[in-house]
Amino acid sequence: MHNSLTSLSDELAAVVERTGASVAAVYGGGRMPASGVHWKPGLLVTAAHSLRRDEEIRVGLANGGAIASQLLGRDPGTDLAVLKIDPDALPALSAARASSPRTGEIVLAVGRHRDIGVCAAMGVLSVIGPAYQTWRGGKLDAFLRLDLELYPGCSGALVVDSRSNALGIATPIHSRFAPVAIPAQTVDRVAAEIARRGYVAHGYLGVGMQPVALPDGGGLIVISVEKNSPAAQAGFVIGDILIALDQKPVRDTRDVQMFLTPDNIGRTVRASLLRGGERKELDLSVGERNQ
Amino acid sequence: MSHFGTVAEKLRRSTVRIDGSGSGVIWAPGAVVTNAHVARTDRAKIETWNGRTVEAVLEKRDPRRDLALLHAPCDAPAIQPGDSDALRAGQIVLAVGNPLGFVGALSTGVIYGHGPVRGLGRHNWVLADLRLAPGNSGGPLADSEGRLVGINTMIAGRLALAVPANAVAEFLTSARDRVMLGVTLREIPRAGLLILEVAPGSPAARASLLAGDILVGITPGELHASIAGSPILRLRFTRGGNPHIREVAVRLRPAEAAA
Repeated sequence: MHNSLTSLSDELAAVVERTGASVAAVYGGGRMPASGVHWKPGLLVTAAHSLRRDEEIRVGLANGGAIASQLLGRDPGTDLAVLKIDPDALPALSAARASSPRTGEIVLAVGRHRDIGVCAAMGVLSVIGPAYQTWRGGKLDAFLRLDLELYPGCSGALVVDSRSNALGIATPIHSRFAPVAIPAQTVDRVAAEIARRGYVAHGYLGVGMQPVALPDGGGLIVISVEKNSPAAQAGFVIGDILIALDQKPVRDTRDVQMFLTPDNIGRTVRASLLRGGERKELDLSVGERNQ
Repeated sequence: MSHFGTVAEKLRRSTVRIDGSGSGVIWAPGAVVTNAHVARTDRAKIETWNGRTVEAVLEKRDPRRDLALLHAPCDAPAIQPGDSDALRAGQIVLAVGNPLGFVGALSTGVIYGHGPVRGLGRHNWVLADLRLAPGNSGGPLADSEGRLVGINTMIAGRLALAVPANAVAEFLTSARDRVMLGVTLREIPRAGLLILEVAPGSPAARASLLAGDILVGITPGELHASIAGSPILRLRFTRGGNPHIREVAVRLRPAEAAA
């Protein structure tokens, strides 16, 4: 007897076997170890919150052994940390990125456990939302909420769909209700950033702002300007109402935060504002926030 | 085409309710396997899928592996056995049982992993990403074809833990000629092994060993080897400071085991 349930079961187990080869256990000094994914050759990505120390983080492999690693950096905002490992210790992830995830599709969290090896939990993708900023200040390229149980040791597990495509890396800390997947696109971006300079840079303007209502929508009124900051140098004064950055309207401080991505650091952008009822344009050069 | 419902219905016919609350699996005609923590007494009332109630008698029990075998005269079909060593993480599993009083309730999920669990000894467990509740204990965990892969036993951190089906097979066969002495020992440094308890009816009791006797001149390692190797064990012990020697027959015959 062979039934359709068994076919699905076999496919799911095959997905875990295929992708689990690139998943390692990470012993970061916390009460529970975590999982990590050999994302790019030599770069193992894990959940930053699970690392309780910066040195002597060992990485557990499929054969039960463990290898040394070096922490390249962490980004608490997205909850990602990158460890440098021997690229030949385990195969790097070859799975394609899930291009168009759909709400309700089956997903698996694939982790690795010290005693039992590769482990898997199944659920569905319960919410797909647009890019957002976490309450820790990191930018995620999509909101992917998982309706699955993330068991101890599975922070940093690989999230895949039923076709073995990678959706991202699982973490329980971005939502109070359910684990989320840090999208693969975000992992690519943050891992590259950390590999390059050891941290994820944040843009800096040096203004305090608060939203205000305007007849044609809204803007952000400047309530403080830091001395010698990019905003001060651009000529911002208290009382200016910022309405757009690079022609894109800003209605909330979150819109400005989302604008302060690493790739905008050092760029000069056009800031549109209202001063004394009149529209004014200023050239604003985005600085980098102190670490 | 078969789906969860079909497989679940097949499992239900081989699942029984024990004493109203626990679950059990019909392993072979007349043989019901459950958890030792479900079968606590010598007799139990068993209800099969069609509502028939029969009286079952405890045949053997291993509290360490949390397994028990009951003899119950019923004609419900035996479950199809599976190979728990061949389990793969991510494969679909089903559990049927009587959680919280719901008779024949189904839970579905996937295999999380298979191996030892810290704090629960050296034994292997089948771990499943599947929702269990009290009352599932002793019931079947099965693969997508309805083959038994484990006996649902406990919940640890929301993870379902089942005794692997292969361990059940081992329990059923090895227990047939299980070798035991029937004493609880405590190692006393530089003195020997102090007998804390003698199980009634055990070989130790028949050889009139008493609590307070100290086994000497024999280390635990040698004790194990000699029990496994020989049906007769020569024990040297001190009682009240005086040396004694006694020979004990340690092998239990099936007839004795069932008695």
